[in-house]
Amino acid sequence: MIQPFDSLMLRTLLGPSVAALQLFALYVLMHGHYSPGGGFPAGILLAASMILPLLVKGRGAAWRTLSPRGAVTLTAAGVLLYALVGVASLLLGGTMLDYSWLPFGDDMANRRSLGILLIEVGVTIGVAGAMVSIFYSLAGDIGQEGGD
Amino acid sequence: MILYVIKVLVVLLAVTALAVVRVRDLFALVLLLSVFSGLFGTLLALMGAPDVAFTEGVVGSSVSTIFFMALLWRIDPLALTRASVPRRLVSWIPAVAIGALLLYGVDALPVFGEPTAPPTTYLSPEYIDRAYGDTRTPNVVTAILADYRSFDTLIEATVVLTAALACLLVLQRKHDPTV
Amino acid sequence: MAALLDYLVNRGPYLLFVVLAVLGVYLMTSHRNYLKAMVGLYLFQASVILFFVAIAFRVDSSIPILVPGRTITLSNPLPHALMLTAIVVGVATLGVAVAILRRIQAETGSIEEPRHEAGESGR
Repeated sequence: MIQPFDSLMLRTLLGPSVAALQLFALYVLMHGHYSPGGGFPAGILLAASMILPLLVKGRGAAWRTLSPRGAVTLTAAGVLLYALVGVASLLLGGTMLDYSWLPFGDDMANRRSLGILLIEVGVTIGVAGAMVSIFYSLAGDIGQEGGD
Repeated sequence: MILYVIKVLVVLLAVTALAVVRVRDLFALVLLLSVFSGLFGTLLALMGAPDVAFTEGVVGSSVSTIFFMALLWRIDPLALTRASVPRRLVSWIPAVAIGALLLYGVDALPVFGEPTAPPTTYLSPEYIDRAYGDTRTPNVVTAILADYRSFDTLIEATVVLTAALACLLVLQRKHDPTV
Repeated sequence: MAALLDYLVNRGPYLLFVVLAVLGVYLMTSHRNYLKAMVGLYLFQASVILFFVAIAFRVDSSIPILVPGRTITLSNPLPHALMLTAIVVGVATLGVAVAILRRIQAETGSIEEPRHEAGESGR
């Protein structure tokens, strides 16, 4: 895995940085309705919070974050969630990705708002997994002998 | 006031782009791209596009720089040979030709910030009027991206998945038993 | 001269779009190092994003978020949505390009175009 760039300052700042990044990613995702942001910056912030322990701690941090296989699974799960919301609308009587046919919420506008939130979660998970997976592909062999 | 700051940022961005062309050290190139992305995000925010600025700033400062740095791990950053002078001179020809065509087109555009320009008056007032009533979402850009134009966003998520799979295919890693 | 200054002042971001596009195309065609050519592509993409956001700007407008009781005009939100997609697709494509460059570096040892023995003028 990545050779750790270890120093006392980085090890001390790692915990608060990862916590702040993940909290901020969740905030940006949930407040995408009311403030600038939405699913895409949230996904990339989540990916950054998962790549940072790998850069600081190297191989030892891998079990706390994602394995390479888990990253690809996460990406596929995010895109699948998005597509399933669309297909669910199709199966329940409307056109594809028409959120007013989803089975929760009391008012058509509220159903569409909840549908937007669901697909933003899907986009966040998809983008986060993809960025971590690309990072593993590119930099996964740094520090090993004869890795290329 | 905002227009004044936009002009200053335009000049700074042009200078940074020129530095990116001229620099010879690949490590400095990656850092200059980070600077470019930060200035570009600020310019976009001042032009009234906070969602785009947010995404551009986050992307340019984190994952884009990390990807470039992963490439620079195995390459000597100063091993940059220059192309021969005829090649450099000849490659200005398509660049200047494209620039002349674009300038000819820019001349026909309305003045920067014109309130009666066709992009501003055609479909967007309808989206702005109907966004809250249809979707209960004050952020009109999210409503457009996730509700009115959600097919584009679905295919974009698929493109991101395809890019991750393509990276896996190109750089087939031996199975690492410890992860 | 006053007309030129007036032109520059009124169309500043559009001229930056042209400058970035020209520099991007020059970087793509003139450099033998593949990394710098890829950076040229990145500059070209940034110029297109700038163009779309610049045509959406209107003076005395604010960000496109509806708050009850707000009377200021909003800027045009449709190109912002298109450019969000463009930025994320661009970073995904950047990842694939860097992966291909790493593979080239692993197979051939350098990320420069191979030089012919007869020199570059013999193409």
